[in-house]
Amino acid sequence: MNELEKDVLVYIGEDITSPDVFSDITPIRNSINDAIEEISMLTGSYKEVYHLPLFKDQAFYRLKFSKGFFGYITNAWLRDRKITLPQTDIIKLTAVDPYWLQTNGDPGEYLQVGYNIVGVTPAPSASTDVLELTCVMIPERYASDDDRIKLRESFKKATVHYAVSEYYASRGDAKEATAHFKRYVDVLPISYPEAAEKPYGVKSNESG
Amino acid sequence: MNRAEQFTRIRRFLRDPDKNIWSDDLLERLFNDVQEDIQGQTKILEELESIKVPPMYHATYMFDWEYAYLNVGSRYYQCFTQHQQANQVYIHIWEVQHTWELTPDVNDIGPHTTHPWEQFYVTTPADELKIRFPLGFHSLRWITYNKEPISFLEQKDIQHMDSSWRTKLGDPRHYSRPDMLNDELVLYPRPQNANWTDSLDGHGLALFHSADTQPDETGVVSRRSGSTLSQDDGLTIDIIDLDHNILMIFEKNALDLTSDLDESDYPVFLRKYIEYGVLGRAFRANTDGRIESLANYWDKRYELGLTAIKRFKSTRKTDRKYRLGPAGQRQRHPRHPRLPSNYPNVN
Repeated sequence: MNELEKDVLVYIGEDITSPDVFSDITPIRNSINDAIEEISMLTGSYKEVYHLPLFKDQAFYRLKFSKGFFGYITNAWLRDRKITLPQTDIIKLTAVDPYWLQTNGDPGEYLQVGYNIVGVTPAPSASTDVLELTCVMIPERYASDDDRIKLRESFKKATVHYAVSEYYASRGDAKEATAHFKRYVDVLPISYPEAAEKPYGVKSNESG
Repeated sequence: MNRAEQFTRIRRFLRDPDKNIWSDDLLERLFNDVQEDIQGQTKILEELESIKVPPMYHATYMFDWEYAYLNVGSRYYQCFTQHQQANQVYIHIWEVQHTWELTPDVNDIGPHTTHPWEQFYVTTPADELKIRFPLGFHSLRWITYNKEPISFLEQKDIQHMDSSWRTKLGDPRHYSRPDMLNDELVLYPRPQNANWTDSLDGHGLALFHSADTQPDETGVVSRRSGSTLSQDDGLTIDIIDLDHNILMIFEKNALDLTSDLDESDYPVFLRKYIEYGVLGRAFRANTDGRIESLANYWDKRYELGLTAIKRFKSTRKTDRKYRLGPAGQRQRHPRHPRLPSNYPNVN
């Protein structure tokens, strides 16, 4: 049992040294994992780098991660040419050059299609470079007490409220479930945008 | 996380582990309904696939009644033409005249075929080359043939443009759809080249190999395991052979789950939102377990989940340096700095 799970048990009135209802911690663990996934998905706080070797004449690649789940790409960097590839999409590519698929050369842009397919255009004319993709990831679900929880410290208490909310929902207490879920949502930039990180700026009061 | 595991999670919140109130049949229907709702509202499921031209099918059939005896999940092709005036199937157009005891003198274009691939072996095939969209297809976003974009035209417009549209050969520039039911497209002009390559060469995704048995994905590119650089090695590389084949990006519907081992088409981290939708509907269903407050709670969780999915989808574009807008939108010109109106004239 990790610290987050213990927090949940304390909130719901269980004895953490000898729980009698949650002798099997799996339901609590599932809820915490769900919360971690949602927070990571929305905040983009966890990233990994995916190194994709480029193949000659191959424009599209299906990304496969052995740990965690792919979210989206935030940066694409060509290692040999030392340039950043800007993101594009099918609509812009087709508007600029409808025959873009027929062109080979040094990749100049990348696009994301669907869930886990990335394309580069033009298709590489040689199998020489490696594309370094910085990807927002959704962490894999932790399964044991010692697994690392890949979540920022400032979000961890929110996952506790998420799990407590689901506990009360499983007990049929919608009112208490809603109250705890609201505390979870307060952390996320969804319904309560003032909770999002806001960098401060400076503005002059002088007119003209 | 398969259907059985998701149902276990759902039943924890329903407090019905023994299926006393909500049956698996009900949950299955609610589950598939919510899957469709999520896709309808968020359009999160999108796929890129290539289609072999001509497509391959497991078998062909003629009469509608045969459909009930076909294996679910396999791809079948309905050949020849249904006689709308009688429960018959006819091959050549002159047979219709013969049925009415008229002199069968109308000219047919050429031979008819039972499988689409046969059309590339006859001089002037009389059938349209109907190509089935992939399983789960909903709507097209982009389509190419032989790496060149093709555009949609109504069949009526094609007929108006070209009276010999059925036999015209060339590089397809357009496609039409006979109807929306069968999710098929017809290329115009008819392609005159086919890519029959079936040997594995280099790294990538083979269309098929002579030693392989035909998989259920016949008609689209299928994956062959056991070769080098397979997905088990941590890096999956697809080489989609686009020469004389179709490549398309489309919105797809999540396929219905029908057995405990089935997995949803949604990524694992999005599947919990399906569960929220199921719970909201389950607590509203006309059962002994109907609880309004819990239904409202899970409905709110589901609505928030849809918002989260839409937000997640929009964050995929954060790396862009441009914004898309409707065609022909008038650009708002930024105001340039200017001196106040009471400033002295400098001229």
